[in-house]
Amino acid sequence: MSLAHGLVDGPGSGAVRRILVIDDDELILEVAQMSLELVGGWSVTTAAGGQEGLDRAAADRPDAIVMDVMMPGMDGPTVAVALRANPATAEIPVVLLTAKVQAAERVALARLPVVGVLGKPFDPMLLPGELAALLGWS
Amino acid sequence: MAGGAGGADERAVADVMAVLRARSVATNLNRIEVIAGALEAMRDGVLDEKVRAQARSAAHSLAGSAGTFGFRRASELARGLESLLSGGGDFTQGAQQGLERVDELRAALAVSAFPAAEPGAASADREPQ
Repeated sequence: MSLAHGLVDGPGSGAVRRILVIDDDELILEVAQMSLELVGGWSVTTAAGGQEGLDRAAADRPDAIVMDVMMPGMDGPTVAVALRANPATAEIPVVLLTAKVQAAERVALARLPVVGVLGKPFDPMLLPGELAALLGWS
Repeated sequence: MAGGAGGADERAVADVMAVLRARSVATNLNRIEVIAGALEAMRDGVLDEKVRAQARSAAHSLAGSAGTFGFRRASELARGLESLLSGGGDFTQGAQQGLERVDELRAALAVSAFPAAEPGAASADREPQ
């Protein structure tokens, strides 16, 4: 397993970064988890919807959240705003993952309290590097 | 850099992706049926907003899923259908064209589901990043 990105900065910390992935597509969740764990070396938990993601984020306080935009019930933008409004999760960086990648839509999504937007489809070998770049994780 | 992960990682990722790719076909075929139902209703002038929204969501999910699993043409077709289903008003003619795309979409998933029958298809079908 490659742990190139996995360890939290800081000598001797030894802690592996934890990422929460929120998506209503079970297979996309599995691909993202596999990619971020196997290639990125991170520890990944998942949630299959917006409300579940909010609950898990508040309970686990992951180092970052990767989240789909279009989900039934509570969609990604709504979850992003709710995360920011909760002091327990306000500081967790959020990255959106979406098939909606037209320029105007990217601009609209970038106005949300998120670090950035990654596009679907994604390559599982490249996703961790792209995510690390957005998050400033070396 | 994660993209520079070793060969063992790459092999393991490819193995898992092959399994998930096969599973994705059934899921995406179900999504196609949702889209087809909405387009038929659209063609017949009886599409309601709830069904349209469900079909649009299905097309959106299909576009992302198919592309991630290397079904590039299917992903492109799904994006077109998502766009069609995002509009309002009377789309009788658009619905007919959409139903033709649905047939093409089914074929794209069926062909690409068996890359072993087409040497190099799995990698060649991967959407450029």
